[in-house]
Amino acid sequence: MTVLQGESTLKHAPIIRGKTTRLIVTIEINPAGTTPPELIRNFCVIAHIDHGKSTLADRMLQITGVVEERNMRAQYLDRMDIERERGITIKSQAVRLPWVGLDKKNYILNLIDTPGHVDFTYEVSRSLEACEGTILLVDAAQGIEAQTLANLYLALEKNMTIIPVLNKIDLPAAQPDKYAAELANIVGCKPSDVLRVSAKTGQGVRELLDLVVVEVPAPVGDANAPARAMIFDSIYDTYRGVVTYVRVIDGKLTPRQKIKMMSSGATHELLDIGVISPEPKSTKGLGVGEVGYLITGVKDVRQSRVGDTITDSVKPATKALAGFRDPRPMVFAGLFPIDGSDYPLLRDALDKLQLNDAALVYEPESSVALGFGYRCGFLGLLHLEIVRERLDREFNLSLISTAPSVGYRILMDDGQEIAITNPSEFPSGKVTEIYEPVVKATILTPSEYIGPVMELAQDRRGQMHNMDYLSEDRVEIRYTLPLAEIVFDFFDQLKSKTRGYASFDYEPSGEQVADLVKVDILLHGEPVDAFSSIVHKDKAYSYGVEMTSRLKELIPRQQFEVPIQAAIGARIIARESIRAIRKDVLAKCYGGDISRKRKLLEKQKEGKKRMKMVGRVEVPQEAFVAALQTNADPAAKDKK
Amino acid sequence: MAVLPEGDPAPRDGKLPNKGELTKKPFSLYVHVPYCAKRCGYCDFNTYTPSELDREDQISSWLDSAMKETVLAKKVLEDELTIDTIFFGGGTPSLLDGQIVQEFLNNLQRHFHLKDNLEITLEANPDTITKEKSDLWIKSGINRISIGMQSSAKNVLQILDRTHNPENVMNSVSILKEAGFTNFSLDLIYGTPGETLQEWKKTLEDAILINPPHISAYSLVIEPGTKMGSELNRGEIQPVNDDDAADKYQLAEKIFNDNDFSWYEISNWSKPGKECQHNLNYWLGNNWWGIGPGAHSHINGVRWWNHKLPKIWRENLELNQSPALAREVLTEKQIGDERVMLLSRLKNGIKESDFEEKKIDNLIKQNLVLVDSGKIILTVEGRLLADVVFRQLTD
Repeated sequence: MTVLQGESTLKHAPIIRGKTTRLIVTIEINPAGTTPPELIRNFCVIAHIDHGKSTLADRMLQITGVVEERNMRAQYLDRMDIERERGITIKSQAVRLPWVGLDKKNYILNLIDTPGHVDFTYEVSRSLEACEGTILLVDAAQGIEAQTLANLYLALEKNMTIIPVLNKIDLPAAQPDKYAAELANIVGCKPSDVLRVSAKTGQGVRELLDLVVVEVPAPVGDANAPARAMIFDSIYDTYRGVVTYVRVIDGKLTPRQKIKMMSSGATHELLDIGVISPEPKSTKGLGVGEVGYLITGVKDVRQSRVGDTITDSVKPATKALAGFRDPRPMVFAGLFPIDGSDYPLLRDALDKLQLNDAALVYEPESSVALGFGYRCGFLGLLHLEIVRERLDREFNLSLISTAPSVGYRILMDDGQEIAITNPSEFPSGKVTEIYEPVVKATILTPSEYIGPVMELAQDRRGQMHNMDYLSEDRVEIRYTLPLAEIVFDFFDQLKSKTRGYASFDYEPSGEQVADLVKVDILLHGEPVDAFSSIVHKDKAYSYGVEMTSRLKELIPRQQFEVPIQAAIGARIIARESIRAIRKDVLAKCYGGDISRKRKLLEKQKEGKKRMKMVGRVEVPQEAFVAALQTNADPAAKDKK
Repeated sequence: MAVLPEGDPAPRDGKLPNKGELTKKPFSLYVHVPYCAKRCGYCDFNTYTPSELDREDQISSWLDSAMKETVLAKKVLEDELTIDTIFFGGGTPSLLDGQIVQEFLNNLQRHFHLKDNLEITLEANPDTITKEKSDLWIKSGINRISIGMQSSAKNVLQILDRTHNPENVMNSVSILKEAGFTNFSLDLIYGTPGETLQEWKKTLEDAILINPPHISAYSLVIEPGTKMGSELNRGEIQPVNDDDAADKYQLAEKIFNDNDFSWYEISNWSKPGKECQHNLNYWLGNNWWGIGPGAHSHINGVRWWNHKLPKIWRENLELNQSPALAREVLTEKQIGDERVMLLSRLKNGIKESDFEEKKIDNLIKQNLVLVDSGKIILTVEGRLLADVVFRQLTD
């Protein structure tokens, strides 16, 4: 394979190391499938959103010559519009880069991109599992953020080689000395070991690639053992079906081979196998330590799950690779089309999204207030928001989402155990104990905001574990928080209390017993399902007061007085009432008014037809939408 | 200013698609006089102050065009029609000189028969009623004056931008009575922002003291595009409060009742036999022709309306063309709905047998209607919720 190495064709190539541009044509001596493991380096990049990971990847693509400049575009590897626009990576990528090391040997560097967000911790962990080393990339103007720190801890737990790097050193606001000290403190190295690069200009990127060759260990595996490869990503492609990204641990995978998914036992034939560099290229196979893709013809990513082990179906391995688990939805919300006739479109859209999103689950739900929709389960808040946004953007669906909730485990007096993901499933019988999911949260904040942050966390029933100074003026605080307390507006609150400076990350951390109650909102005695909520006992009253007064403003007056009540079981905890309407008549109706008046009444009648009935109460859908929108705006908009 | 409804284009010659039988139904004439000395803050009628009009479209030019439209009406309707009622509305028809009214009516009789002792009403602003005008009006055949009293509270009149002094009303009525008028009406407005219940009560009592044969009382509607509409947008005045308006309506109903007035339409009360025949013709679905800029007409299921601007109205008539801007030919369903909408507002009510029993029972249960002699009749509560009743009846 011919590979252009270097930036020779780049007209505006930055001149680095003081050398002139060079053209080196190398023959890749060891094409994919036969590369000796000692010449392979598998690494990933841990970075926060906007800290420049995609730009660094772009620069690596250019410098190693796998993308010519005329084909270059920003954030080359980010496929979905939504990724490029929001500047975040949702799905990971893998790209094979040839690189001549300082020892003049021809190396293969596999860059495995990692998803940059909290909701995808499991996918991050699988990406890390596919590598031996990681670049810890931090913005030299901002310092490390909570999510990066959380992912770094994952990498440290795996004893991976960490290469700390400060990016954006070209920025006027960069404080490389300060943040190098901070990074060194966290990673446990000397500040001078922290490499300084500018992914934008390319400065330091060559040194970084050289360092990867030197620092990251070569993969180790048994070439003669039965094949074992770990799936670290799985993507649905309209034309090719599911494209599965794997890292081969032992043995070898070859075209036409019959393979087996070890979690399900399902067998498939390898229709295509190859590497990404940066476009897919078929190869004669993939050997120990190699990273690439494979296609079996399956149409649904759930048949090719992240973390699963692929083996040979004839000569299977006996033991799967550790760490596989099913993605578990943590956050739930009802999605309802604003226009009821869009319901079938919503179903089709969810079906299509699920082809590419093994973590998305949904089932039909019907609501008195909102009509027909789907109860959906998500990995977290960002996942929810991404799904909503894709439904809106790619399928043109206007949706209303119920307030996100979490799953509860409920022990009944009669010994029965119930798991619920929707407040409407809350049992009416006597409850002994309720377990709610909790998360381990990491908050990084400038030290001046410690007070407000602690106040917020305390208000959300947080339990503080420890507080560490990362540097003089930055603090890491660790909490255990009920997941239900952060799915509302925790993140927005955190941002507003710290003027946008705090960052936040969490990971699921089991469950705890909690004193929870279900608060129902009753309209003229009828419960409005969309507003039922499971809340902590101490917060039931304020929730009740807030919802009743909000609905009072939103629901038009009826011909009779309408009480709006908040209730725990049969006990009313808050009450408002909408007084009966007394006047609904146009005073004047003379000759010139008749046509206008008739048209007005016709229009009113049309409007009435679109009303939702809660018992006898007519409620315009917009009222429900407005009541839900004010509190259901998920928090995961981390851009800092 | 009043927004005209949307409609189909109206033909240049004013011809009706199907004018149907005309002589069997009462026929009225509405005459729009779109001039005012000053526009009131709440007014969204088609009116113009002198400064808003070219010289050739001032009030002095009105008679000529109005007479031309009379000729057009005769040409379109063809039949030998008898006019049952005439109503000069505005604007401020009382700004017209007595001679002009007389000349208009004289001319009218060259084209139409006038019923014996027909009701001829003229709307008047208390400020414009003089001895001379009153004498001429009665001489020309006008026999009913509708006086824009609105309120007897000065602060309320000020918010409404009314120019008259409340005492003028009593004086005007004396002048009218002296001239020989026995039939007149007082127009009242309630619910003006800032008006107290006490002020409204005083207005009602003052009106009763004048002892008119007829009173109209309207809840103020602040329309977008009016001066008060802008004041509302700017937050300078509060919106009309429906509960307050309902209280005031019920107070009016009580005071009127106690003084031998009886309601016969949602916003109209009268002594026995003094109902406004002209307005009843609208509500009973009869025919009428509206002369003047922006005037509406109805002939057997066809409604049309004239161009609003006096200039365009005049120019069309000068070209012997219909001044109609647009029209709508009502479907059977629309005719039926209008019937329900209009008849249900009357004390005479609408026939019970036209509706499902279930609907009526439901309305009775809600205390919105009662049934008397086979007619569905609004209760006081029902009058305030007449649109609800309409929606339920036509559901």
